[in-house]
Amino acid sequence: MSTSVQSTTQTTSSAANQLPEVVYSPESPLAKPGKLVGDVFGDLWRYRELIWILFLRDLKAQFRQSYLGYVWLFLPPVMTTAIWLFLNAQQVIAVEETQIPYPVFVIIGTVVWQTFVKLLQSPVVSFAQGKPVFMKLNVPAEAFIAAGTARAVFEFLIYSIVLVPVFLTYQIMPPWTIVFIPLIVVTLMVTGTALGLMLVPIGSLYTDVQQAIPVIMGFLMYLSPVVFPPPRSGIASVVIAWNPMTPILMGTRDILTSGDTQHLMPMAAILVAASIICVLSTVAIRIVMPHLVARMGM
Amino acid sequence: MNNNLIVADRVSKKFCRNLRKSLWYGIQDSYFDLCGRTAKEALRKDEFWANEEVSFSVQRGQCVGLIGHNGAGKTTLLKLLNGLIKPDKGKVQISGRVGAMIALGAGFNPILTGRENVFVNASILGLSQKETRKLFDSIVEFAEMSEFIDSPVRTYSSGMMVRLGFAVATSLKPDILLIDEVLAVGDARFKAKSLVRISELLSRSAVVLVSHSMATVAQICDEVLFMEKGRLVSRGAPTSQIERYLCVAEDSVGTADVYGDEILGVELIDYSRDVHQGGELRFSVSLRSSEVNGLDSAIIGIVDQAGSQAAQTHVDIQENLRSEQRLSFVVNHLCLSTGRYSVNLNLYSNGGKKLCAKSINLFSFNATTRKHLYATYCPVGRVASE
Repeated sequence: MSTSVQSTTQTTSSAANQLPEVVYSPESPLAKPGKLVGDVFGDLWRYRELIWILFLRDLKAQFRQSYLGYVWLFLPPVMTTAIWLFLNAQQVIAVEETQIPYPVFVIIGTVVWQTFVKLLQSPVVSFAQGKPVFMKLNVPAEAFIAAGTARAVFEFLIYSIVLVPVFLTYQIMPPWTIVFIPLIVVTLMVTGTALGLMLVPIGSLYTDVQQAIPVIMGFLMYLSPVVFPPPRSGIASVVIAWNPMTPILMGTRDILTSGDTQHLMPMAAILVAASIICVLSTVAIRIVMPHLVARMGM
Repeated sequence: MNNNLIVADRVSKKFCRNLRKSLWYGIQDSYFDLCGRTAKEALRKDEFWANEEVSFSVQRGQCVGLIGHNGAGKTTLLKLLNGLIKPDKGKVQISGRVGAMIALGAGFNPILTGRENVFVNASILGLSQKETRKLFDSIVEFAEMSEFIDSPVRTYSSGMMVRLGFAVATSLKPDILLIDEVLAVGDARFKAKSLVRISELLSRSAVVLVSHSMATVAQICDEVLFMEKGRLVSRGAPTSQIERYLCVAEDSVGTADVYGDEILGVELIDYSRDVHQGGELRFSVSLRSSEVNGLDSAIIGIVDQAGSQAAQTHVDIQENLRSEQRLSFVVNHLCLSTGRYSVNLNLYSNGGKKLCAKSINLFSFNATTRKHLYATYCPVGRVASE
């Protein structure tokens, strides 16, 4: 019989003739929280190559079967912008006067919002796609999720290029505050991912979550200052004021155009909160993973 | 030094029959783990033990076979060993790198080329890009895919796909190998080749093999664990366990499963317990059938303890059968080596096209030979010099 019995999860031994030893037991992995967190993030680092390969695989597969390829990434923000410009011009809806030209307002809003939605959907979608693999092989699901997030980030970089011609056309000179762009990008990424990760455990068991996301996101878009500035009174103004996306959307516009920094502090606060949620959710996914595999079927 | 790479100690796992409840229990279990508590061991409503108190260990170089009927818990046990699901009781201890011949070609994307997919698949199985690059040529050569390696995988035949998946999976050198049915793939020639390749892996790993092919189990396993309803009911040498498996292979020893409405029931009446070499095997069944049953032929199969077909014969049934009928069969000149065999019976109608009744393991008998088959070795040189 075995000489030493280590408890839950992994211990790698340095001795040459000793093999890495793992013990699976009913005990909650939270009995050794430090080790658990170390394992989770150690795995993300150890599987960085797999993440990269999965990212490339999906990217290649997406464009190999299409003629227009990257055009499909540009189209959604351009189309949304076009629709709102049309509606506004036709007086079907009347958007309150904005500080910056309305087309610039809308296109920044849609780029940020679309990125947010993609990031939020990505973990649940990647998890569902990777399911056939990690239901049968011992591969961390986090690798599939991370590859999906990497792709959403890549797509964001591609379609944020549409902002360049818009800025040139309206001759907007970005102020010094554009040094905060990295803060915006990171906040946006982390917020979207944090919310997406929280949905994974429930979303993998119940299909309701995947069904609900597009419906709810379509609704939430109008509770965020994406295509119109926040109203000054009424219920909508209260909701929008408390919406965590508001500082991100408004802040992005401000630092790209007017140079107003009033949204930076709330944004930093959101970043901190979202980062904590991200870490906790990643650890939570690792903890519940065996239960998800057991319940998702054979 | 201790050589046990796999140690399962009273491992138990609960499953639930009802989907909705199962999902809900999943949420409950997750909640317990998230709170750092251990869930209660007792079964909840609609739950059963998919694995119960299973204990065994496997050493390097040893191959343990898991046999049992569908739903006996073999695959669940493999998943527990692989760490995909966690035990509800007991524990599993694994030492070393685990390789699994379970989902061949995991992560293959049909649009990408074979070459790209090899890298994805290898990475999922735990090979680094560098290692894969080194092994790439040998993988492609083994799979005999050099001609098609740059074509998209969706243009591959299913055989080509598993060959490539097999070549990647077997290029790893794991300490522990978990195999679920995939030992050999492709056509007969490639199967032989893959068996050679896998036997190299078997000798240096601790292997757990799940298979319904008793011939394979008898051939490569050192020890066999026989599972029934989640429990390990017996263990021992392959032949003894396989016999046990075949004896309960169908609950219906002495009867047959009936398809369609021609035949209502088949029951064994009488049979030979022992057959000498060159002798006769006799058995009779009583047949209940509808007025017009059109039964016109039967196939009798004789299966050895390893589950391979030892003999098969086709019988024409010429007379018109009544609704209650005794059917007697005699198999003449039976030449089998000493051992225990079981008999399968298939009954056909419509010119042998429609299967009406099938009995796997209708009964078993002992065959004895007075003379043992033997061969002598003649060195080539001597023949030439004489």
